[in-house]
Amino acid sequence: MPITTPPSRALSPVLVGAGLVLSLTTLAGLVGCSGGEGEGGPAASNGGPTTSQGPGKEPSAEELGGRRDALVIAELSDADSLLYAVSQSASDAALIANLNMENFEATFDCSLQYTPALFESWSWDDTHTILKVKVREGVSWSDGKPVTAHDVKFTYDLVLDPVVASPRQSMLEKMVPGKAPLVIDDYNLEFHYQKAYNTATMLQHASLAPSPKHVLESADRASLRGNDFHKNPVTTGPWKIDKWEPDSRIVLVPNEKFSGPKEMSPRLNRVIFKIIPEYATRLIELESGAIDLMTAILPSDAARLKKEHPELSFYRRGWRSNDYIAWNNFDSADYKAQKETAKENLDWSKVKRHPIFGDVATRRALTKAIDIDKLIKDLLTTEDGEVYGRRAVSTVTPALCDTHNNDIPLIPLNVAEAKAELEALGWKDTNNDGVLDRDGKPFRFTLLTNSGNARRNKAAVIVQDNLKSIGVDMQIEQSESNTFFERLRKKDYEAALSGWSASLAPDMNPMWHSGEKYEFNFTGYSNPQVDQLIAEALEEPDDAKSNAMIKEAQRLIYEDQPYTFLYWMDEIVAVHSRFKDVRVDILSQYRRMDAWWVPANEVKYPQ
Amino acid sequence: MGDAMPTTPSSPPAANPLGYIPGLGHLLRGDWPNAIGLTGQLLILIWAAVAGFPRLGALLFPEQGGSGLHPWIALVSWFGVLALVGYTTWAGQQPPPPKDAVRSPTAELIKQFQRNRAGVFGLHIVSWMIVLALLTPLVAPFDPDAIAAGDRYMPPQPGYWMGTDDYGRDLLSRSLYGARISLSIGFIAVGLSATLGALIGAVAGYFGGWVDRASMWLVDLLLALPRLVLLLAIVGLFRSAGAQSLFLIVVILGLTGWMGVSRIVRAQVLTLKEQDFVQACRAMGIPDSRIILGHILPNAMAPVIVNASLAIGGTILTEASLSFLGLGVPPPTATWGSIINDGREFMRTAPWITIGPGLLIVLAVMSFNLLGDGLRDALDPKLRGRA
Amino acid sequence: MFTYTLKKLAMALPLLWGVITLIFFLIELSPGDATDRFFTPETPPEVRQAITEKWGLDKPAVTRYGIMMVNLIQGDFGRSISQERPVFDIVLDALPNTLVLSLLSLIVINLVGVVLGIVQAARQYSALDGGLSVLSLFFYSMPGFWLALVLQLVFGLWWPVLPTSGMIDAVMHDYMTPSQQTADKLTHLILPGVALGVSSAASVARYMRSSLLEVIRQDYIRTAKAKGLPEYVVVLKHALRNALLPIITILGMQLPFLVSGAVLVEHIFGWPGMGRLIVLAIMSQDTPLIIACFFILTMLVVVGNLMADLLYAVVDPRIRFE
Repeated sequence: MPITTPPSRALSPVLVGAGLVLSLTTLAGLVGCSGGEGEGGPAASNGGPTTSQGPGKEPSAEELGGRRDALVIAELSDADSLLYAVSQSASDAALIANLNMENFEATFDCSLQYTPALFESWSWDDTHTILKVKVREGVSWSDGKPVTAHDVKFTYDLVLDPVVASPRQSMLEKMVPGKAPLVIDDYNLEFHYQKAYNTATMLQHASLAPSPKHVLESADRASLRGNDFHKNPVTTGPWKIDKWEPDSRIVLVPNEKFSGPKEMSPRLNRVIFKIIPEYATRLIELESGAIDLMTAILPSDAARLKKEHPELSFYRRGWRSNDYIAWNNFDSADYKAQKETAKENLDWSKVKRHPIFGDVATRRALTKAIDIDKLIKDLLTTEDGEVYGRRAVSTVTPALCDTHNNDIPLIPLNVAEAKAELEALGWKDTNNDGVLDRDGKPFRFTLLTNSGNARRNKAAVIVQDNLKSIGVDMQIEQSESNTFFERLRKKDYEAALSGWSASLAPDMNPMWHSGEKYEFNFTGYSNPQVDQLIAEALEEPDDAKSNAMIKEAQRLIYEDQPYTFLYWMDEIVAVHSRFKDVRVDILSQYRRMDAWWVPANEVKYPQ
Repeated sequence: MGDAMPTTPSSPPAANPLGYIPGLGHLLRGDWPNAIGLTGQLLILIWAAVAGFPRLGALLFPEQGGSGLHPWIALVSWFGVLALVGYTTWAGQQPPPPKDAVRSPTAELIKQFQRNRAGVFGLHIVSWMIVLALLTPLVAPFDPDAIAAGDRYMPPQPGYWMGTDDYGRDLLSRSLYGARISLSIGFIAVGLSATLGALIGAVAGYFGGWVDRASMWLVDLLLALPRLVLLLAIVGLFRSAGAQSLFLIVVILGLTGWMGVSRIVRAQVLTLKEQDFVQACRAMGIPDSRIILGHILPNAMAPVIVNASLAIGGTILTEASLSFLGLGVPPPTATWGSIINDGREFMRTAPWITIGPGLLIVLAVMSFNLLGDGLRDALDPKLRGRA
Repeated sequence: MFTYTLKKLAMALPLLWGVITLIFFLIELSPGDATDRFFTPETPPEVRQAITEKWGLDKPAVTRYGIMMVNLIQGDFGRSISQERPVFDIVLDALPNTLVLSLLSLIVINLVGVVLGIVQAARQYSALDGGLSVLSLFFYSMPGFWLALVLQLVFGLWWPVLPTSGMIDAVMHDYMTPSQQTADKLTHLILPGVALGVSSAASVARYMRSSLLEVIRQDYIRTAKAKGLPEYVVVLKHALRNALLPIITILGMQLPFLVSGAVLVEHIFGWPGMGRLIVLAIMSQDTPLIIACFFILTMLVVVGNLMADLLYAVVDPRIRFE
């Protein structure tokens, strides 16, 4: 059996951490609309999505002489739901994306690129606030009914309906109520936005793939997650669910009634999801060959696996997630008291600042004392020196190469300086107990983190050790996930070690704008310059201009250190090398599985 | 079992002077379980002295606040254990009492217990663990929470006898400090269960009636639920209210383990309360509480102690299971269970992280079981009088 | 016997009621509830109210308790808050899997334990007896999850002869002949069954050994031997039946123990059973699901004890039902 060399070793970390994104961008017109009016869609609009996505177009099923082999994927837990309206997890989304034709075919190369899929073409009006979409005709659901614009609208209605309690409600907040979307006829619709936002953002919000209206319109919206739809899903994509044994496995087979482009016809016989909750077990099965694909491999295992298992290929998915330490700028007790009385009209200037973290100098000094490179080395680097992460300087992912500010001077590790700076601020160990104090109060605080995340727990312990060496006493408190998030939202913490999963359409407002409605601003950070920059950037259709504003905002935020930014992580995914044209990238763990194929002489599973 | 004791000659021989070396005396008398036990204690004391005394100054008077009382307790314990070892050696050298002499019940118990070699072994291993736990500040080469005490993932080697974990922390030190916590959890939780169970069982058995029926119904209720599942429910549901703390876990373990004891005590009390001495007490007007506490319970304690010894092993296992589910004592505190839990992702790269503490748990539970079995045999009147 | 069974089941009702009430109020006292997962920061208060009402969580505890009990009596377990489908369906998916695993474990435990106990009693005080005792104790003292992980490593990777997760071969099961499918299911039962059962098997072996030893000392055995019957006939035909009695009593106790173990073993082996379900239910504070799980658990214990009682009567003809 011929063994191919895992290609990922050649990747340098400087390259966009999208790993083996096999993409060909064909859209010049989509992004840079200079005149306020532009055309969306590929140059050759022949009705099919552009599928050449790699060094060569992958062979079709006919060219291959038929479908072959099966792909076995290990999953941590069972799929929650097959409806975008109610699904939350990334793996659910990855599964649904394979079961359905997406609105846009998304690729990523320094930014999100959209090519037509279900939406055959689209255009903007003069004000760039109305997105006019043409739905491809001839696509039908697996029960034979045609997919229409009504289905698209139905899905957005579901998300909007409070009874459904959809986690994707925020996708509609920039749209005009009542016209989100507006159906013109069976195959045309319009998304009306409140303002002319950044194009990538607007398109992303229009990318919610439809659910079948004729099947679900009479469904009990209060219990969509448990609807029988999940036993017999009606979908539009190249795959369909053959078996779903709860908590055990999900088997996908090619959808014989698939009405999309021929190039999307699957080249594999089956895709099987095996649910294995325990990491150690997944690893054993990967090594014994019982599974073909495993995500979220620890760096400590990656080096050994690469050496001992040349039959596996490794892919990086980066940089989607980061970890950071948030310093609460405000005194949480005072904030709580004032918010109760003032509610929306809270005047930030009246809230007491946090006695320790309220000022920039202290926060910068703390960052100076934290050995972030050691964190990366201990948590994200393998024994043979391969680094699966990079230092973070903002919440914008470096994968967005034109939007991420690569020129921010880093605050270097300097323990001596940190001590000196803290001393200058009045922190001295007057009672010789090993802990700095000021005005009789020790430099002691509690870092909150969520339990169950081994990497964050480790990071917390290492940071604790770093700070201990300069006389800062940090206690670690673990909280379970729901409570953790609640406390962050209510600003009921002193410091917190948490993380973000970055959006691929850069909008910094939810996290950094000081307006009260932005509840992801956990630190209470308030900088009018930043506010203005990021608000304007959101409404700036010219990417060059908006990128410049966002970069400046990042620089300002880094100077103020409301977070100590820690690191971005590369997720490590292993796939058996017999699979070709594999798409594992920043967008999805297993994208467009219909394109994956196995050469005839390497087939493992005859069925 | 237990015919290791040589028959006493008609006149006691002069004690062999070599016998004043701990362990050697027992060996010379052919009593090798106790010999091994004492030798082990001696070796531990020597280890603690060699490892700990050179740094005594730094341990007892650390520059920065630090561990406080623990090193002092360790030092005092060291002398205490030395005294105990010395006493046992000296006592072994004394001529044994004549065979038909009257012994106090305690001495009788000890003699019966000594017949069960496995039980004696169990007792000694448990003692070793307890002593090691007491002397940990002297013995442990590193601070258990010290990151980068060594390189990460070092396999067991000189200097790091149990290897290091993924933070670079020394596993021997962590296991020793973990022993303190795991054993304490075991003792305190079982102590709590035994006390609670004994009280409830005694009250139920003594008063009878609806008190008895209600208590036993509650016992049946709680016994019907598997203990781990019950614990899972309590700690899991209340974890956002801070249930995952060492203190609360011990309390919850204690509150879920009393049912077996209460049944045992109740059964004992039912037989005891009809006996003459109890009737006499009642007739004299002694209040019920004093009868229960002062007269009945002490006589019922024997099976409770047996049960407790066996239960400690079970509690250690339960704590390990809780840690495995992520509901145990929060990090960075080391317990045997939490070390295994931390290491389970590294079974392939660093299996010693899980194997070491795993074996320690097996050893501890085995020893407590042997001890409990030995106690049960010693207390069981049916076995008395057998050769 | 029929009336006896009915009586026993009837007596179990207060037990069941007690368990459910206890768990209900435990959940009540605990902070948070299952609907938290539905609320994002942007959820407006009317929506929170609507969702709370939908699940009936706006009513006071006592009312909800009453509604729940009324429903339970009618056999309605309600809807799971986390999965939004009928709890009955969810449990129906999981329960058979745990039963199969537990049953196999029970068989393994008792077969192995009894055989070992007999061997040990027959060769009392020999090296074999001592060695087996130590081995028994060793496995009895082992954390179950630790054994599970080690088994996976040994038989899944180093000497890969047995499957390490799932109930069936995820890839090829659908294409097997029926007999192959049965074999497939059996091989998948082996590792989790062993991991689950070994420590109880050790305990049964110990009990069996001491019980058999006690019985052998009895006069009627000596009489049988004196009559000239070969030893194995004596042991197997006469002694065994009586020696088995204590084993049967602990049979009832083994079931809750197995379920405890199943919580961990099912997680490690990806076995979709009640053990995993209980953990998931508790972690998401899904009241209807938690109550149903404990209900089933208690029923299992009651039925297990009942079967042990009946078995006891079969083995010991002296027992008569009151």
